[in-house]
Amino acid sequence: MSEERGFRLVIGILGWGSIVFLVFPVALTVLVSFNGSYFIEVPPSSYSLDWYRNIANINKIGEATLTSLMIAALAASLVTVMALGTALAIVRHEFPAKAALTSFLLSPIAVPIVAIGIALIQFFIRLDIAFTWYSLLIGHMVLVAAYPVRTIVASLTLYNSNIEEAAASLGASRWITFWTVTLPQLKPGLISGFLFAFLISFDNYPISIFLVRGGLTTMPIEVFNYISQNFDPTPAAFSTVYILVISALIMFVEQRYRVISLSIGR
Amino acid sequence: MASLEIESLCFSVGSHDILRSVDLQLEDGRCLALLGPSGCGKTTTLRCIAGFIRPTSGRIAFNGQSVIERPVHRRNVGLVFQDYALFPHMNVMENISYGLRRRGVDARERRRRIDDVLSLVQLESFAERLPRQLSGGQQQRVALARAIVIQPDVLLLDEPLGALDRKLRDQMQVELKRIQRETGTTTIIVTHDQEEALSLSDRLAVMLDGRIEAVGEPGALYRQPGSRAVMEFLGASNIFAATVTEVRGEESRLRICDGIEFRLSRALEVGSRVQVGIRPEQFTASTAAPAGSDNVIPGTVTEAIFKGSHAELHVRGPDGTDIVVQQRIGNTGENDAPVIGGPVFLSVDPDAIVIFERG
Amino acid sequence: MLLAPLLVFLTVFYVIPFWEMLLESFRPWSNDPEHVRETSFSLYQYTKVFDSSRILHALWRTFEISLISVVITFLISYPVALLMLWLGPRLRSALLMIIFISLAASLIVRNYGWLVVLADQGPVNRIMVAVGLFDRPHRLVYNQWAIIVGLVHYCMPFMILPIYGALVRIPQAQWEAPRTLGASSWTTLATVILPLSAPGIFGGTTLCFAICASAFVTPLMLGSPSTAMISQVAAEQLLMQLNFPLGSAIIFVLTAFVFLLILAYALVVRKVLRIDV
Repeated sequence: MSEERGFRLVIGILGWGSIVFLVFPVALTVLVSFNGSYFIEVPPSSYSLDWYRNIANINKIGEATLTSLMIAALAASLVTVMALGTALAIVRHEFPAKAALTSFLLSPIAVPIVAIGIALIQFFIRLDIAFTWYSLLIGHMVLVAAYPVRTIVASLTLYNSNIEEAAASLGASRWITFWTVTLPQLKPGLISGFLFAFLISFDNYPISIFLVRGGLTTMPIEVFNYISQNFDPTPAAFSTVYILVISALIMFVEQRYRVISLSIGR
Repeated sequence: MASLEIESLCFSVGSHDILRSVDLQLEDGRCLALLGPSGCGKTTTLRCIAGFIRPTSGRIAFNGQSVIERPVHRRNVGLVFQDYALFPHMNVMENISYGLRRRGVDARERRRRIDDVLSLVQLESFAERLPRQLSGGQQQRVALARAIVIQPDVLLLDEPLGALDRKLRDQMQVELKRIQRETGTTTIIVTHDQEEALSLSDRLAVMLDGRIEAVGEPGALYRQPGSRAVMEFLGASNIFAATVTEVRGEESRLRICDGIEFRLSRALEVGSRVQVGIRPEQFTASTAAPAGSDNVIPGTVTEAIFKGSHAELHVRGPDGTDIVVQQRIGNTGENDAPVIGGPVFLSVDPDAIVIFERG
Repeated sequence: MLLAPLLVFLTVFYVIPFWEMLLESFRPWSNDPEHVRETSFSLYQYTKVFDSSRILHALWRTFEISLISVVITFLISYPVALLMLWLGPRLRSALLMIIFISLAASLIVRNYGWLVVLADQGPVNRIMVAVGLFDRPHRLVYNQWAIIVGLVHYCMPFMILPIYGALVRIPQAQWEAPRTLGASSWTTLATVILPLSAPGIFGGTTLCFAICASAFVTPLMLGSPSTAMISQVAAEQLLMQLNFPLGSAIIFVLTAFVFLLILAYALVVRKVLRIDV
């Protein structure tokens, strides 16, 4: 009995230690955001909310954040819609070279992000649409396309298609069945796919850095620039706000749609 | 090989008492079937013996030595899991040698013992196979071999025949008995299936509601259950309430209700209320009224179900109770089959009746 | 049909650009524009890659860092996965939520967090000085180890989740059977549970390796020019030198190496260790 308890204790310590490691930087950032002094000090010698006010001073932060938001929302939406068709095809139908095609469709996740950025900027230059808002959107779409496919496929495989047959026997046409039965069942997959795509796009630096120039800029780029040029804790304040918003968003979505379980598994 | 003693074993989770003072003894080399319905605590008892559960109080001893303080991996108990739990990433040989390795048995001795046990379970040529390449029955034999080869003090089998189909089950029944006899290992088989229990062991313990209700040889227990609960669990039964009207020497008269009286050659207490238990196969059903009126229950047939070697009759007795009767379909000359809705007379041999006083 | 939209989109904006990039990597470079225009296929860029000590160093450094990061990530993630297995449902959900949020939190935010933790006046330095291991605050950031810490931190969720997924599929009896046969909990872990969780370990390690090898933001924020990883070198060529062909060639060399390494890894695991992944 005690041998097992000892085992569990050791693993427990290691495990919780790792969790602390995971959480520590963020926790500390929140603390530092209230730092009174200009330099980063832990523990802070004084407290102030100055840095929150200073967020507005990050160059073009409002414009950049708006751009990031719109790009992320649009990219995620478009990609999720396309992914729906793709996922249905993968799970429900047989077609030639299915395994290969599926791997291909999911490959953007594994490819170095920088590669995608480099390939695309060269391509866009050639097509003479480089550095436009649209090219940025396309770049982000390529980046996140695979995620909704994965989550919707996961959602579909968990899903018992018998209820569609039940609907048909009750008189629903294929289209109605799709709208009233299939789609609602896929909500977790759709929502989590959208969420993944949105977050990854919103936060992305490598793709954006290659595809923007001049007036066009994104939130991560501006924050990064600020960090490399200044040493005050303003980014800490920004991070805190960011984390709070993201956490609230994720907790809300998880409450309603139970999406986290879809990330476990193959 | 060891004798097993369990004394006053208790285990509770919160306010829920799962084991309420379980007592059990098993001599070295004997085999016992622990039989009971789901939820009676038999699996909990098994897990206490193995060491996965620490009982709230009580004693478990192998050969007189208490093992409660010992962790699982030091108890030398062989456990065959319900789903066999073979290691999927090891072949048959490696699975079986696992316990031997943990005990530091050297390679040559390991080889010898594994060969012996493989021929015991008749899987000699299967040493290199992986679990997923084996059938259900073969997997079970490997699981058995794995548990036996370590020469455990006690061997525990958890619902061994449950996952097998009919034919395989009959085969494995014979196999298991043979193997147990040949190795002489002290064995406990836990099951909820009566047939399994009755066929696998020469000693039966009926467990109900956290306690051992009866222990004994299967046939004896079946005929003399000792308590109503055991009788109702072990095979089908019909129970009637009766009053003892007369006692004369070694004979008693019982009255069940108007017109139904039993005469027994047993001395009971006059005026006491008892319960009478009669097994379905102990009745003789006939459409013609028998000679005397003692030990006969008249009734109406409500249902007749053909069951292959026998027919099951449901009869409505005089006071409205439903009586279940089992009638051999023999080669009776006269076609005397009771008809649904028709009258039938059920006679019973008084000495076959079981009486529970204040059951 | 259903596939069409995504398939078309990816073909146009994913396959073609990459194909073009591949072609680009086969272009030579010289001072003569005529020559450049005429030659359509040349291994010039690839020779350049293998000739340049800076690029080769970066390549080697990238693999070194990735390997170390993956191993460390594995060692600290496995206990977390085990912990999740044993916790009650509510704590487990909370833990999953934390992992998820750290996945979703901006990479820039997380790396900034490390800049804070490892800052000259940050907690680590303060503790080391207080305890006496340092005589004065050390510069802990902008070097290789800071990158490794950042990468480990980033990769943890990608390692924890697949391993947990594999662990959760192991039947409870596989934890109990070895113990009835005499194995202690540690032996059970080593001889039965670890092998049975191999598919998850394999998935987690390959994913993390791919992530580390292509890392860009983390080394950019936590490293220095002398610790540049291969993605940074490629980006440099593109954004600063405007040398598209070389940048493309570097990317392809990286991708090829990662791919080959993962293939070799899979083969070793399958043939030598006889594990089914």
